[in-house]
This record gives sequence, structure tokens and C-alpha cells, in this order.
Amino acid sequence: MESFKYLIIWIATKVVNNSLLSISLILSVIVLRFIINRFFKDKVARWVMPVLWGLVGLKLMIPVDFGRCIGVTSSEEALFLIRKENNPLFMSIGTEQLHNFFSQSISKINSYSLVTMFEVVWSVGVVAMLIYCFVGYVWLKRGINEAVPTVWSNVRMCDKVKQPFIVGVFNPIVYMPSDVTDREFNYIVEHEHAHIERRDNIRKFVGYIILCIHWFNPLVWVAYFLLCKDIELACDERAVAHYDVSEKKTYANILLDWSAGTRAALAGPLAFGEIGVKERVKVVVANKDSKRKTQIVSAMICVFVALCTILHPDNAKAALWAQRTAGFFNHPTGCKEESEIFTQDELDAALKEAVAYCKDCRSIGFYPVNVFYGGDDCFEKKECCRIYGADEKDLMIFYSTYYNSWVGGTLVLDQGKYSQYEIEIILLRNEKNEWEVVSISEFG
Amino acid sequence: MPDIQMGLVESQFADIIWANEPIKTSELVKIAEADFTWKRTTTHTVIKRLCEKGLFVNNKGTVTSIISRDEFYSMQSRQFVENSFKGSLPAFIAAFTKAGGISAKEAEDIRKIIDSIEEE
Repeated sequence: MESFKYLIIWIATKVVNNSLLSISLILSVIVLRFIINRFFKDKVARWVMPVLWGLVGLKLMIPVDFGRCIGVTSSEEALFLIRKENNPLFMSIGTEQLHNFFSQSISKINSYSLVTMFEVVWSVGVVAMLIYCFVGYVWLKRGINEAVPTVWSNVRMCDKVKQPFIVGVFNPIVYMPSDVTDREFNYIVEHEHAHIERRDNIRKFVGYIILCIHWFNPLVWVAYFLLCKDIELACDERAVAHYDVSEKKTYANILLDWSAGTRAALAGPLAFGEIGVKERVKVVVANKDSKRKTQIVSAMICVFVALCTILHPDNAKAALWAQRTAGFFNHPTGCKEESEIFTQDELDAALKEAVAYCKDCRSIGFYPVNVFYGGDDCFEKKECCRIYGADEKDLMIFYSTYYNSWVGGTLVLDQGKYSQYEIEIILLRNEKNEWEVVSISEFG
Repeated sequence: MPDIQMGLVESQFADIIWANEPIKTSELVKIAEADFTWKRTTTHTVIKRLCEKGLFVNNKGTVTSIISRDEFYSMQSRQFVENSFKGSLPAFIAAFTKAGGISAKEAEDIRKIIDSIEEE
């Protein structure tokens, strides 16, 4: 149960960080969408926008690795913690390192009450959204019981359906109102089939799951809303791709009838994601530039945005900022992560110096002092700064856990056994902005 | 005669009863399962509803008609069924269009746009 709680907290932190990092991308896509729709409507295919929103979705979901520790893996960290605390209970637990790591961290996490509150609210929000999804799905399914097959194997007709829709992610079925005219029937079926071919049912569903997770970010709601609009436009474009002009007119008239004609009088309040009919009609009747040119331009736009998303130079900075913000919540007692005080370059340079004093040390984990190694109040770091009269920016401490001994002036590792000893290396920054080792100690 | 409304699906089912009456409900269940892939409960629900509307009667498991098919169709034309989805579909469902909300003027404008495209 405790591990589960920690898992929630870990996930929530990642989610918040991803959300923050995605803000600039969402804004950029919104601006780009406006520009394309305003000035380049005929030169860009409608399928571009859902692809761009797909990139946004990726960015929101893929965990970004930032603030990495110098060294090996967190299982090493776990072992360090166990040794350091000298807790007989944990010592007796076997080599289930991950479990130990989680258990150790719980006692630290428990003191971060501010963090816990956010996690609770976030979890409740996610669960609420998922329940809405589930309930909506069950309600829908019940209502479409009384449906009869049609000539199309994946289309069924139902008295109770007023507007056609698709249900199902893996086996999508189109449900049509039973009172469509024959003329309308085929056109609408083609539209729905276009949705299925484009896998829009999967896109909307996945998009909704992402929305569930990032519900606290209003920009994600905007993105989802625009995604729904853009999906309809892309679908219309695909459905009418092979139509001649009179067929396009018929299709557009059907769209209009269904929004403003007799059917409109029967409809209830506007649902989430109202799709503007005027925009859709314009897409249908649009006279596009040469098809080939349009496709090339569209593909180029997608590639360009994808590259920007991956290679965004601010990613590293933003990651640092996000971690600092998270750090504010994570360290109410004031022990700052060394990765917050120093840049990655500085950490690398100092580590390089440190391992030069230790044969084979490169292959083991050296960890800069942080809340796990320095304790809640970073006592060691503060003490060392006081002793050496140095500012926290000019002093760095690294720990490692392997057994070692001095041989001819350098530390040699005995990698056969895990150590009861720890190495602590203290470095100071000198006037030449280089890192110098001023102390190496072992302690048990 | 009271005005009886039936949607297309209901009328397809009613046609089955009219064509095969008197018919046991268990038979109806089998036919509906084969033709429509309906569950047993669904079939029973529809039978009950049609009986409540006064078209058929269920006598100890056998269904017969009160109003014959010809009588019914001479009475009225098909109309919309109540109880439909009132337009508030869940957000994650891909739907055709969200009806309503257009003024007459807007509709006029859009109609003009459609009419204006020319034959190529």
C-alpha cells in the first residue's frame, strides 16, 4: 500500500512536469493553426492539424528524463540508503532492491504534506474523468441495444439515435438514426467510414485519456476541443476527396440540413465540441491548389513541428525549471538538490576530478549530495560549507558506496563486496573556476 | 384510434410478429438474435413496449396482434421516436455533427456558399 502511494506521487510529479513543458508547444500549435486557417487554407491539407495535436499528445505523455543523477541506477541509490541508515529491518530484506528503494523513500515522502495534497486532488480528478467516460460508455451501449443491421457490416440503424456516431475502439460500429433518407444515408455512411479509416475513434479516445490525466491544465482542454474540430474537418476532406462538384454540393447541403433544418429543432443543448458547420462547408467546397503541392507542403509542416518538438533547446532549461518548481514542493525543509544549484557541466567537471582520485571509480555510482544522501536538511553540505568557508555554489560533495582502500596514493575498489564503507569526496571551486578535491574520507 | 408512433427498428420487429403470429416469445427471441443480434432482454423489452402501445398482446408467452399490419400503416406515417439521445454525446465519441445553434441568416449564408461553387 505504501509503495502504491509512492507510485502515485511519482506519476503525479512526472505528469505535472510534462504538462508544464508542453504549454509552449500547445500555444505554438494554436498560433500555427490560426495562421494556416487564415492565410494558407488552400495550400495545406486538413489532416495536418490532427497530426500536430498527436505530437502534442506525445509530448504530454512521454516521460522526460531530467535532473539525472551522475552515476548508475536507482537501485544503487537504494543500497546506499539502506547501508547509511543501518536499519536492521531493511538490511535483512533480500535483494529486492526496487522494493527497498520505495520503502525507504516513504519515510521521506511522508513529511511532504504539501505534495500529498496535490496528489490526492489530482488522483480524484483523474478517477472522476474516467468514471464519466465509463458511465457515458455504459449509458450509450444500453441505449443502442435495439439496433438492426444494414447493408454495411459495420453500420447499424437505431430508432433512438438522433445523430450518427461511432462506438468502439477496436471494433468500431456506426450507429445511424433510422429515419435518414436514402439520399443522406450513403453520404453519411461515407463520412463515418472516413472516420474509421482515419482511426479517429482511436484518436479521440486516446486524446480523452490524455485529457483525463492532464485535466488540471486548461490548455490541454483547449487542445482537445480543437482536436475534435480538426478531426471533423480532416474527415470531411477525406470523405469528399473523390466527389465531383455536384456530390460535394449534396454533401454540404446534408451537413447544413442536419444543423439548421428540421432536425435541428429536435436536438438538445449543444454538446461538448460543437463543430462549426460554416467551417466544414467551406472545407468541403474548397478548391485546393494542386494536390501534390498541397501534400508536400503539409508533410513538411508536420516534419518541421516534429523536429521543433524534439529538438527544442529550451527543453533542458524548462526541465530544470520544472524540477526546481517541483523541488519547491518536494523539499520544504530546505535541502536543495545539487542538480538545482549546479549546471550539468559543472557536475560533470567536478565528478571528473573526483573520480581521478579513485581507480575504477568511473564504473560505480557517485552521487552528488541531495535529499537522499544529505538528509532532509542537507546537514553535511551545510556543515562542509561552514567548515571550508565556502558558498554552496562553490562546494560539491559526492558519495559512493563501494569498499575501497588506499594503494600507492590512489583509492582502489574491491568490487567483490558491497561496502560498509562510504567514500565522501569534497571539492571546492578555485579562482580558476576549476574543481579541486580537498577531502576524501571513508566512513562506515 | 390513439396515435401510435413507431420507429423504423420497432416496425421491422413488428413486421416479424405480424408475419409469424401467433408466435411464442421464445421464438421471437431466436429470430431477433439471428437477424439483429439482439439479446434476450432487449427482445423482451421491445415486445413489452409494443404491447403497451396497444399493437400486440402477450398471452402467457404467445404474442398476437390487436391491430393488423394493414390497419396500422393506413393510420399514420412514420414519425420520430421519443427517448432519443438528446444530442449530448460523450466527448470521446466521434459523431457526425452537433445539430442546432445556427440562425436562419447563417444558414442562408452557408447555402449561398454551397450554391456558389461552380462546375469544373
